Amino acid sequence: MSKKSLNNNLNSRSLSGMLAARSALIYIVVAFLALLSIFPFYYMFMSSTWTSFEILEKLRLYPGSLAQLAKNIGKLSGRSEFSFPIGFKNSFIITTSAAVLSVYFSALTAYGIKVYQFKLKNAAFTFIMLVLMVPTQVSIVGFFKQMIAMGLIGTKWPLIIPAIAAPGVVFFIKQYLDSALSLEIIEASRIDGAGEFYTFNRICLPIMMPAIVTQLIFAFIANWNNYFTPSIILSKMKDKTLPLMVATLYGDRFTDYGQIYTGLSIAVIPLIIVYSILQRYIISGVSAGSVKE
Amino acid sequence: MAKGATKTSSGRRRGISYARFGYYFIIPFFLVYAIFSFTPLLSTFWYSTTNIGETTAEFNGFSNTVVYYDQYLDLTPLYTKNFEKDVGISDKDYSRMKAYFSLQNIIRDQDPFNEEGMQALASLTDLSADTQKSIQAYLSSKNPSDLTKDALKELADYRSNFSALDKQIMDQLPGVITATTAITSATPTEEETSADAVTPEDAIIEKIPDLINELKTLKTTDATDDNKLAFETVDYYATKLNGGTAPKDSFDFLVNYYQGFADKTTTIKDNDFYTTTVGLVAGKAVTTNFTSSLKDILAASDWVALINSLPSIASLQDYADAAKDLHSEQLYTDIKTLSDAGIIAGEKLIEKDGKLVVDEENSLVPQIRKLIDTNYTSDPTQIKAVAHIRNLLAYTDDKTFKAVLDNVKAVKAAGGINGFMNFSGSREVDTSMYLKYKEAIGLQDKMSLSHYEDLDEARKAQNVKDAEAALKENQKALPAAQAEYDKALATGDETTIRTAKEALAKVQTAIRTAELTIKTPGGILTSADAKTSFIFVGLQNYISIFANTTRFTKVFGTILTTVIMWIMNFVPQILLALLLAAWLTDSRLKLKGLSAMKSLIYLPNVMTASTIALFFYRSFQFSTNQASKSLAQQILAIFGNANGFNFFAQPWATRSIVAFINFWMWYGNTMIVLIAGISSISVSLFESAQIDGASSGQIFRRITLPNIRPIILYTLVTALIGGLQMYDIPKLLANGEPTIMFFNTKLKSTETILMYIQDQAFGPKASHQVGVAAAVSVILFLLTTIISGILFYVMRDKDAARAKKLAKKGGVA
Repeated sequence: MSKKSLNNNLNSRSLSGMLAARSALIYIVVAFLALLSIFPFYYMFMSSTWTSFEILEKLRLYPGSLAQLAKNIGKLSGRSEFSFPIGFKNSFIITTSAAVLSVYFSALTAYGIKVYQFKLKNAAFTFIMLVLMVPTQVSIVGFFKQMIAMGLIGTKWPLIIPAIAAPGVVFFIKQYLDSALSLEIIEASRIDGAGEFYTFNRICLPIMMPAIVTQLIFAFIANWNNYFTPSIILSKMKDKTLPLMVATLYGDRFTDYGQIYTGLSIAVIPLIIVYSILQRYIISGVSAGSVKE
Repeated sequence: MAKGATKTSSGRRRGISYARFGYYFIIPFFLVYAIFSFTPLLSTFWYSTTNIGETTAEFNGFSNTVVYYDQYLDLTPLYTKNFEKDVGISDKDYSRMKAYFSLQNIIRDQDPFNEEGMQALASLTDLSADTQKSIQAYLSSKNPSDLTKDALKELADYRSNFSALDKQIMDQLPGVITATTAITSATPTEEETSADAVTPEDAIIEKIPDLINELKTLKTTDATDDNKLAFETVDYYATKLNGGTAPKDSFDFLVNYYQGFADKTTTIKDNDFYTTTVGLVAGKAVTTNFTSSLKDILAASDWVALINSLPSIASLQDYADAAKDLHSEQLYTDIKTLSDAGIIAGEKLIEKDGKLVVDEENSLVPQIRKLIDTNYTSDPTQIKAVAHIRNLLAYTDDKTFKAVLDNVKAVKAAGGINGFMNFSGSREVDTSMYLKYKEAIGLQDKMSLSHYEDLDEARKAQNVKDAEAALKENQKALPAAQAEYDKALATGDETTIRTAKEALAKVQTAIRTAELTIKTPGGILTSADAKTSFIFVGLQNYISIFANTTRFTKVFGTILTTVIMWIMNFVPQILLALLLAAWLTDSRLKLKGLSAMKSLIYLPNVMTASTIALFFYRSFQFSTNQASKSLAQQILAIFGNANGFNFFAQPWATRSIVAFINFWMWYGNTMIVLIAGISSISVSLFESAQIDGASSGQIFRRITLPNIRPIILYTLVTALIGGLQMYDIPKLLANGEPTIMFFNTKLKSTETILMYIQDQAFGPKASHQVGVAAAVSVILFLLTTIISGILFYVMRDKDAARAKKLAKKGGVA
């Protein structure tokens, strides 16, 4: 009896030691990975405060002078094909409108399929499931030609309006509605004399909020980062989005690294701010998106 | 229960009116999906079975239809005699309209008033005050006539006196463009040669013995001042052909070399053969000249493919306009390849110390080498300005331009044609400005779509009338022709039969043509529409992908590249994600700061891929200059590799970078998905395993892995579908460079399938390749569908259960 308990004690002690060692290993590995995540951005930010010559001379992982940062920003704004205000404005208009439209209309669609009984209900949902996996990129040739025919090339519309039809978002919100929305609430609202759209906008939309916020964030990030479609639709400097502006830093006749890293920093700062505020929702959103209960 | 039932029944009673709301709610989705996703998908399928014509009109939306017709309707050849009477538009008016478009074309091609270039001009401080004033005046008024003659002259002088290596190179590039486009745009004439005719190849081979004799004669001639050059030329080319070392006897060597071609043991379709012969002729060593026909043969056989395979040739104009960095190894390699093939004279020869050597100072290839090696830079704004002066002068000196301006003197009162022209270098005709111009010269009514339609009708009627006359005439002639043919058959004389047969066929064809014209007469609009019409070619695009070896290798090479880079990123990604997921979900460890860990690891996934790609591009650049090292070189130097490593010169190194970026951006995402999967496994399973004394490894292998298998498969399939669409990172990291040889085809080693589609559809040769791009898209679509099918198959159990549940619910309600 006593022998056994000793043995148990020993086992648990060696086990706890092992666990501590493993925890330490995990902390080290994760710290390294975290460093890897941050380093490029850290390096970008630091480099934006040095001159091109200083950047290329040796590794400088500490900030230079603010005066140089101001100079780099000044030179950057002197470039004819890179303008942060214009890029930011275009990106913001496109991204916000696309994200809001996408989430609102997806909620509408998911709600319509969930709540109402109509003939094509199942067919509609099956269709949405089917097209879920069709990437937009494969139809780019047809899309481009059609936008030419509709006279929409060079405008923001081809980047905003298609967001209304987002099968993935519909699917996600539908999943959420299945678990969160009870039809009694709608019945009650009807009895109180509310119209169908009023019920949706005022009563059910707030219930869907958690799913909507998650999807809004993802739609925002996805649209903000989109490069392929805008690169085909937009060609004029005044229309370009931020990723397109950043891409102009690629082909550069006289490479000024200070300027380039400043440009890259300016482009990632909005995302870093958004991410640091919303990271919790983003990560729980990724989890929720993958596991279907 | 009873209460619930009444509610349902009352809901149902009113539900009849509610059903329509279901449609209202889903209609926006389906409408937008139909217009912006489904139609494009279907039309991509349609485009994959079509080819478009050589010329494409700049057709920009419905509002532009009139401009389109004005620009592309060539009315002149249709109504030559009584143009004014038939068309109702005076010759003068018509030429004014034409003048507008030709000026627009000049502006489009040469972009003389490019904003950036004009700004660069304004920044030149060493110009005279008058000239600076003139440029400033233009900048504020945007009126070209503000640029005075004296100012232009001074700019021309400034340019000719400006000598920097950059400019010397830029000046030679337009010549390269001319030489290459002359080859790529030439359409091969497919003349049927009868069997006994001498082929161009044979004609050349016949002349080779003459050349050999000349060489032999020259060898026995005494060296004099006159033929010194000839001897040196022979030495130079013999050494070059011998791989850099001088052969024992240059003459014997060359005679031997040429004998191989004369004996047909070596094919004459050889670039060295061409350059050597051109060199010998130029050096006056021989006079037998067949180089021009040899050039034709080479151009027809493989020069087009060679030029098209060089990545930087498409953007030569950008290099010439100082819009792209001349310090480009790619540019150097491509120009050198062109020079070696003999397409351009990139290495001119001069005599130096009694030997022929390459003129390092004035030849393009060594100049670019020198520019790269010495890190040569002159003031960028100055270079931009100098490049701009060339365009500006080309525009103002151009006789066509003067003629155009003369033509439109009549509209001077309304502000001149310049007032109606967009000088921003835009590629589109500014619709509203054009319409204003049309109004100013009084063509608003005479040239309108309805008028064109009237003309079209008239033309069609005329064509039908002509065709009917032709039909009548030929039908009358048919019996005679038939009888003639029968008679000829009876005589049995072959020549007579052939002549009679041809005459009969001619009549029959004429009848068929006439019948066709009567059925579908062509008008003037038909010919204009035809310029952008898509011609159905069936499966030709698909066939060309499989039948054309180069294209096949390209398409499947890019698919292979995509998959390779995807595997290189996915395997380490899923392994690391699994490890991290297992670690971070181990409840016994009681790890602190889990959410911070997750958000730090996930961070790269939120960032713009194009920004990330550009960061890595800049950080992995390579410089031989020890004073300026990129981030990668600096880090390598810390680990003792002072010379660094040129990543972008090595296909596998570049692919590894692409794979690493994808790995780095996505392992956090995969990890979180897997963590979510593990968290959904019942905790009791783990607890009981722990009580039974299972080790962490055992728990992972026996419990975790089997339970998250569906999630892993889900990750795999979604990642594969996403991976097939890989575009931003390889595009912006190295634009597909460097090239590798893959089954004898030059391939870009990091070009993905989507980049290939983009290049084919919207690249420099867009008008010819849209059908192929669409066909490749369809192939990609099929691949994706198959993979999605696998996904649905894997996830099918869950979905079926859900569908059943849904159906049950529906049945109750």
